[in-house]
Amino acid sequence: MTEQLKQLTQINAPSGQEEEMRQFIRAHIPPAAEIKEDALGNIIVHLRGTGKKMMFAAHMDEIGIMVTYVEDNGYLRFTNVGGVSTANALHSKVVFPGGIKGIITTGDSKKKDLKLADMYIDIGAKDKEEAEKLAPIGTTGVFCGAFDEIGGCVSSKALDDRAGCYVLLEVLQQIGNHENDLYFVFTVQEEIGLKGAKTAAYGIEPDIGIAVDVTMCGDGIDGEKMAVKLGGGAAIKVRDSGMIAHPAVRSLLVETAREHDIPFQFEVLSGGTTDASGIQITKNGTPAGAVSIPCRYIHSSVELVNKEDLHSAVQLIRAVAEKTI
Amino acid sequence: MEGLLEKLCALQGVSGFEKMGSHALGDLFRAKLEDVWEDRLGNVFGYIRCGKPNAPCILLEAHYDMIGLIVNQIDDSGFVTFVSSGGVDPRILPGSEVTICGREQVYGVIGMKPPHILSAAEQKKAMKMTDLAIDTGFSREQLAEKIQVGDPVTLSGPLIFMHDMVCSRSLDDRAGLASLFLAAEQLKRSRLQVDICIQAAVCEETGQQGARCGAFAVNPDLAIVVDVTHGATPDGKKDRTSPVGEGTVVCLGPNIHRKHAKQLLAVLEKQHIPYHIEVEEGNTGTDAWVVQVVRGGIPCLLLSIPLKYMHTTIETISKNDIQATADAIAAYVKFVSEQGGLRQ
Amino acid sequence: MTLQELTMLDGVSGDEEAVRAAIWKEIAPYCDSVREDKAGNLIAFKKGKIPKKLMMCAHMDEVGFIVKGITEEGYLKFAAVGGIDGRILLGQRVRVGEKKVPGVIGIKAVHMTTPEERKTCVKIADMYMDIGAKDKEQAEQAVSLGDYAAFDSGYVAFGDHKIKAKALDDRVGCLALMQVLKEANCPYDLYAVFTVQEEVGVRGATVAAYQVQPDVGIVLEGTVCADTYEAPEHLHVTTLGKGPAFSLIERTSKSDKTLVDFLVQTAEKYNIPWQFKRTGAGGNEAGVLQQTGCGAQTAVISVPCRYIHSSVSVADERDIAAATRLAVKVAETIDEVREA
Repeated sequence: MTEQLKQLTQINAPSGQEEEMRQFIRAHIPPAAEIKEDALGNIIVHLRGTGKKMMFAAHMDEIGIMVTYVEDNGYLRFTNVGGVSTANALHSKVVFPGGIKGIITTGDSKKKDLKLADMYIDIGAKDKEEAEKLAPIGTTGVFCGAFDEIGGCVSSKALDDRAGCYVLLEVLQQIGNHENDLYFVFTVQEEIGLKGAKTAAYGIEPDIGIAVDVTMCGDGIDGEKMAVKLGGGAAIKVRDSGMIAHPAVRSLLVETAREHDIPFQFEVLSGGTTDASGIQITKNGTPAGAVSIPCRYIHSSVELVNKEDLHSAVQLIRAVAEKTI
Repeated sequence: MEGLLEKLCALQGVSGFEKMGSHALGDLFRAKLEDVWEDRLGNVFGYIRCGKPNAPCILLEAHYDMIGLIVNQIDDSGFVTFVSSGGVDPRILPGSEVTICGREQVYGVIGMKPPHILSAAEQKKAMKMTDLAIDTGFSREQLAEKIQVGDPVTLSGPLIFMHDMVCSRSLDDRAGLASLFLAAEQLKRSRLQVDICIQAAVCEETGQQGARCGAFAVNPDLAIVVDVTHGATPDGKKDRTSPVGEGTVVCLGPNIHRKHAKQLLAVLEKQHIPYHIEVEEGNTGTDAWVVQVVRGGIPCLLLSIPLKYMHTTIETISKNDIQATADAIAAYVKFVSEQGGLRQ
Repeated sequence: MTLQELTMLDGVSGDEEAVRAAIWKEIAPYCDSVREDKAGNLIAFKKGKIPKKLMMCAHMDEVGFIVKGITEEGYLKFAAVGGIDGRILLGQRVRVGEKKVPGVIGIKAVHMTTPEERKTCVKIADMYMDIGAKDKEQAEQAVSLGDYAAFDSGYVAFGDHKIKAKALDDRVGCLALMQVLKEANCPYDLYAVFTVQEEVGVRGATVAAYQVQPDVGIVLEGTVCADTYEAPEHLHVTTLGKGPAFSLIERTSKSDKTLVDFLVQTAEKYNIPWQFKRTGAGGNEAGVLQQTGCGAQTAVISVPCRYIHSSVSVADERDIAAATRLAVKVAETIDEVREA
């Protein structure tokens, strides 16, 4: 498990620039599968069946930053690509294409209401000219965050949503007989508005859509109040701020988990959303839901996911994919 | 109208959990309309067919989901915490009665900490959603077999009549739905050249997903959306509210099809149907906003019924305004039907 | 008469007539005499064998509202009668005046509030009731200045032996006191007093104590129970379901030690659960009973009520039954209290 997950997380693929991920996915798909790439760059893996059309989605992209202006002294001003908080950004290391590294810093870190606009990136350039060669305006970078095993967990950048990509790849390896017409979609640009999931669903017109993504945990100190616990099993989504999971999809997931004795918990998330809410409103509507992997410190460079939860998610997605409905 | 409102407001259907009420709503539809069906999201549709093949279609739409809560945790003492489904104002929750719709229907109240355990500063602050919990009178162990995280919670708010006003939970937008039924009664008695589709939509309060997908399926030539708008109250700004009891409210702005709006206003004037105008410079925050851009675009009209205390359990509306809205819809549909030209 | 019937009666402080009439009718057959005093207190008397006076009291009144103005648009301005936290009022339903006109306490839709407004609680002075009237004239036909209004809230049995109602404070006390009259053979002269205007400053009990001049005073109350969501345990005051609570000291009175010991012994003797009220704050009628005339030994037996002074007060049926049973036993054996 850990080797492939490590490789996945250490790929740099900010929203809109998922090429490295696409290559990796293509290289790790079983040879028998049909692979299609659509106009936005989604990778759609099709395992034909005669039953219901079932679409699974995990997103390849990760949050990052984009250079917006280069100062005379060689510092870079930047904007966020996806949800980047000031607390997570300050004094983080970022990496641009070509391995150019930089540090996000600010003049006065004690300033109240510090904004990303108060920060800049130091890439060690001596002046504007050198900086512009290394990272011109429009260059997109991602946060650095090494892969580590911590207790029964793994920590890294971009577990959102390489954990989900890992689950789908693993299911593709394990999948047995299935009647359902299965689509495994590795989507693009989730972090900036679920773009890939929407277009993929429009093309596929699935009967059921299920996203596989990470979700927040409520087991920290003074943190988010929610029932999801790290290590509590795969989380079956009830609602997030973008959607309420379709009751039939939710029941399908719950029944399947019960039938196979797969540990699960319910996710009632107050903020944030995932590809499922994009799939739900495609054309005349698609019953959609999500299997979430509990993750602490989402959108930081030290996202933390439990290995048992990942295992449960793999089991659950596989069991649902194989279940005749 | 009174009986209809009572039936509609009593229906279940917290946003995202409309299936709990869709069957009963389907029965109400079947009693009044043809070709009734329910889609995969829980939208309920019914038709008045004119009998002509390939006739133009007018969609009359109101949403039937209502604001509510969703259980997100049960603490060691059995207190049940929640998030909102749709925009519930936490300030109205202390002192309210609720039902958790789990394996069993579990009654509960939302109380609050008594003043003596709050600091002076805390006492001046409004309650936040995260400060509140449902007290079901059961322990955590007793609750385990009755409810679970993710169950929807309905707010109690029985319907009462006060002079010409009706007060109930979920009048947003069951009152709109009532106006569609009343308009349908009038339209069934007319000879129409167009098909009428009535849609009760899901999930308006959580992102208008139902309206978008329903309009895609029906693919109408004109959509008339009915929702509620803010009615005047003593604490509301005059320029952001509409008078209550003085007729329907016609919305104008980029969300609204100009030609249809002009024709509608002319029809209302001619037939002396009381109305006020509301101007929205952009997103109307209603289903009309998403319906307008479905497929190749759908011309939209938005009629609103002024409602006081929106998103509370004491939503208050004038029966006269519901009737005026129904009259306006029926009058305009008849006009368009006679006029023709819905399809260029 | 059931607790449901008692709580459904409206009796905001100063307007206790409905409660008084109902109780009077119910207790009359069990008393040597019943009279209404000048303040409106209902004083029931049962002669005992020992020439000492036990006064037990429970208040009939409840917190509520009074109409202070009618606006041009037909809305009612009001004040709270008794201590009401404004935060539990928005969106509440009420019954106004003798005709019990239905009304609601309105609130500007959340969509139109500023972030600042959402954080602060609306002052009661800025609130208004809506009775659906289209203007002042129509409102005045239904309601007059000075009309009282009460919470419109039903009686619901729910959860694990829980009940929810308005006015549990202090109809639970009234219920227990009625039972004392029906059941107990008190060795002392028993004065069972159903008082008025407790919520606005224990005014009924003040004059009743002056008239009775008791030797022993026992107050039957509904009291704060703060074992609510996220409340720290040391501030719970009482715990729901753990039996009636005995006060030790309060802002206005100090319970008599021998009398409290007697309550504890009696409870233990009859296997009735009990608890102490764990705070020095709050006050009730014991304060005036203790200090009137030559003074009296006093104690308080309270039923824990969550969300007290709201439309959704919650009590445990077992606590109410236990408090009632204890009140009866105490009245029957009051002569066993050791002299201080």
